[in-house]
Amino acid sequence: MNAPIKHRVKPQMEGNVPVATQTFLQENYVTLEEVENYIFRFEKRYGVSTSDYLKDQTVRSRIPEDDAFKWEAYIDHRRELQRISDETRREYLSGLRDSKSRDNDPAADLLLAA
Amino acid sequence: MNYFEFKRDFDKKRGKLKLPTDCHEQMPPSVEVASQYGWTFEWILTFDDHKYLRIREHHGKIAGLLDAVRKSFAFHYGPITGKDFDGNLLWAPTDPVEIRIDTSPHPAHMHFGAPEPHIQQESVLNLKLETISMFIFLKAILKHRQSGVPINEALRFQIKVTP
Repeated sequence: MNAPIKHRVKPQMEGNVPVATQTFLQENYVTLEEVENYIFRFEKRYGVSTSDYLKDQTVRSRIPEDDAFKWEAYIDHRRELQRISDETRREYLSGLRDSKSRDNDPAADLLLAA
Repeated sequence: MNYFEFKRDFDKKRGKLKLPTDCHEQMPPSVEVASQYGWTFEWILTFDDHKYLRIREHHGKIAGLLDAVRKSFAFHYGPITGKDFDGNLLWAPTDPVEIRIDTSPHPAHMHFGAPEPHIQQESVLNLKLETISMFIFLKAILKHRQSGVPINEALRFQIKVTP
């Protein structure tokens, strides 16, 4: 059995400004690639695709509760990480369009010269 | 509630919590974070009398809003039935249980004193299963262990007996 772990939370300050603080939480920031890998492992373990797992109640009821909890959490994480990825791509592309339109704008050249 | 609010709230409550000396963190409070609108939390405490308490929560984004909600959870307290080679606790749905409140499958329901039956909300009086917080559950278990108060009294609920 593991020995008890002792934590203390002490806000750190730089002057009057709080900076990164300690936390009781062990944080692991997951990536889309990692999450997809976890989902793939569940699909392989139970021989069923995620879409079949979500659609078919009989398939779902065969999965132990612990794994069902984790699988569904990863599906949700994947949705969220894909949303962020799509949003980032959209913003990047709109940034490219803006800079192209600025390139063709004579007023922008005048502004640059000034 | 977004992840930063969850973290601040957890640290505040955990900071005030004094765990008894027979209680050990088998797994420290751990969280997998996808974004500020999606995270999964887990925390396992064991006791010297071979019981354990496990808390799991998954929070996900509310569609169309910049906010998150607890989508699923499982709070479990009962005897340790086995460990794997690495010392991780083993768990099966048929294991004995003192109390378990979970959303697998939805909606939130309770297992009390035995793995079956699934006791649905309409049979549980004075306790909202869907919104119970991990610290309410944890403190009730610690109170039960320290004072011998039955769990249902520590959590202040009654089970409605149907004829």
